[in-house]
Amino acid sequence: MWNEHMFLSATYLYFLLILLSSFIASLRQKYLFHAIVIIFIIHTLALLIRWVESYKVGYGHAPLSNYYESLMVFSWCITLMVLILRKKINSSMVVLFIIGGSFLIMAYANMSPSIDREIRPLLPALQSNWLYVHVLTCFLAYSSFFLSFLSGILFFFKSKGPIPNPSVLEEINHKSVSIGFIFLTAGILSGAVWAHYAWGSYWNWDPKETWSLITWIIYALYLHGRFVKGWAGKKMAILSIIGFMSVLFTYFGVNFLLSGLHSYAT
Amino acid sequence: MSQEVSHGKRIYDFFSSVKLAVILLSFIAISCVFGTLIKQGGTPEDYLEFYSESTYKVISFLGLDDVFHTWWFISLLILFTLNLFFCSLRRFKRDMTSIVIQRFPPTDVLKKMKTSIFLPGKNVESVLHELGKDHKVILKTNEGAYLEKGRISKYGVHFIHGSIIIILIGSLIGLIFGFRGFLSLKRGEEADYLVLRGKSPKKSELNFIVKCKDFRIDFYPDGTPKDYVSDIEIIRDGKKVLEQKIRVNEPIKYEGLYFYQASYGKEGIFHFEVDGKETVITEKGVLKDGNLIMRVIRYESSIHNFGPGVLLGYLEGNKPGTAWFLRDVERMNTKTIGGKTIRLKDIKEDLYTVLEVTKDPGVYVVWTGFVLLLFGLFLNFFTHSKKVYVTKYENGTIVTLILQRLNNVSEVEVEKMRRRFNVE
Repeated sequence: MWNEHMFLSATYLYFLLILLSSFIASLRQKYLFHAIVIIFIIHTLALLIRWVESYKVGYGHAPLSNYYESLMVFSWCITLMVLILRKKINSSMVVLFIIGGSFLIMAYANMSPSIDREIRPLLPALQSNWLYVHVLTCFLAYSSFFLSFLSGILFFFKSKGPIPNPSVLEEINHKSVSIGFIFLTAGILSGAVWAHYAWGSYWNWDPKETWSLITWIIYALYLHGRFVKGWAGKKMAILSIIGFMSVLFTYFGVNFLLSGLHSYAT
Repeated sequence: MSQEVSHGKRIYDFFSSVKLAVILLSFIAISCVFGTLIKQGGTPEDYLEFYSESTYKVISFLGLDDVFHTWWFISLLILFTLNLFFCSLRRFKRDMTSIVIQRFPPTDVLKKMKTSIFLPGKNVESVLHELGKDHKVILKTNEGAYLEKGRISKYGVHFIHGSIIIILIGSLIGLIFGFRGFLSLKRGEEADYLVLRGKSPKKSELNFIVKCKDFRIDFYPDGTPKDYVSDIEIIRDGKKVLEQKIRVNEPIKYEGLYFYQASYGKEGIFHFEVDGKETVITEKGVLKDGNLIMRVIRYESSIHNFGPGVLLGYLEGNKPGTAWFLRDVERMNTKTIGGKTIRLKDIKEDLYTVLEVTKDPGVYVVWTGFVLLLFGLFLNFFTHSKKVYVTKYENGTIVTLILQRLNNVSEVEVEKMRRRFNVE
């Protein structure tokens, strides 16, 4: 299938970009953004081709339905976030770290033998237009939180050489949490409306729902810490790291460790 | 008297504190962790498999096997709703009183600010006339004026908190006045009741009849299910009032009740020969033949690879007994009970649909909360309030922008203002 070749090419290109920009200063300083746009276009085309190819095998659905597809969309959202926030990030070092995240997810998804990369039919429970809204908002949230996590981690390294100074990292941290919080809220709410039409209740205390609520509460505490208490620096960095741990558990932990209504994601 | 007031105030202060909110939210989050890591709604055996007896005692005492329906969890949510209400009230009062105008800043300070534009040859009146189109004049003095735009941005936070209160109230309405039940119907079968879910399922009468005209499952070529469809008729006072198909993701609504395609099942239909006479018995049915009474106890679609089998319970006069019949095994499909030769000729399977039936009068309240929550988030994060000082200076006017929080927006806004007054 063409889509798999495309995804694999995008994976190699992400790697190549990170490798080359680490050594070639002019690429890093002048053409990084252009290069990311090109890879992003290939990544997008791969998703579209997979969508088209799903019609050829007779199923016909957007690539948002299983674990492999969710990873492809996750890394796509991370790269998209870099493009949206490029002015805010304003540091090629941070951009490369984030793109490194896209690369690792792509590499894992396209090379791990334990992942099913076939196009599978869409189960009746997933046959709804809410699928698009729900999955995209959730992954945009996850990827924004990934950005805040990285800036939170970098905050603990003394700003030497290419690592930007703490105030820049704080700004990225806060901005990405704000964006992520809006998308997470939209993701939970769209999921609730969908659940009302698919399962008969807008809230079922399904493990994934419950963990998304836990994540939401953590980031709500983050925002209140900043706005109400005026917290900054270390505290915020730690909270954004804890928040992302909860995101990871919501995404992976619930799929692999707990069973529930969302179990088709594995 | 004064003591009483301070006592009341102390309670108010406690209920309206952010500290309480943080404590409550943390407890809610921790309860949620327990509610996902410990299996919910299992039988005692499920827990004793993983935990020691004493641990299980703690789990069942605290209700950790059904966290989200315990009195203490619901109390936490109600307490949080109250806390949020009082917090918002306090904040709202503060926001309303803080709209008192600050002193007018000195002209030389305004002149030096990066967000100031000098408009030579323009008087204050003409500038105010232009800006007055979309700004609100709050204060006007001899030196100039103070204007505001987009004050609604400040209310974003109130929309967010208010909407969460609305959502929690909506869910409480659903909890009190709503219910969840189910209905299983074979093809052609009808029912005028549903079974309520809960620890002890109860029947609840409906004032109309639900009839399943047809039920089918479609499959993809690889065998995974593609579509579950129940063809449903609602009959009221002998008249058909609604006929519609129910699919997963496409429930039907009638009289405030939602009917969902939730599940399905298979029921065995057994074809027997009793002394050569053909007869049919269903899983719930009873067969009478003289002084012999038979009914189905258990049905397995495959027994140790010997094909389908059925366990019959019978009463021969007053003597009870049981017997297995296997369809595909010659020696096991015929037995003699009470002098009668009974032979299992065939087993057929009939599908039945399981419909989830719910009523939730709070759902529109919750939807309203959802819309307001998103609107509030939009106001809070994507709009910003703008303050503008218009000051007389030499032969012209200075326009100064004051923007909150978003520092990189200010350049754009200043540029917009320049263009508005045609200055380079």
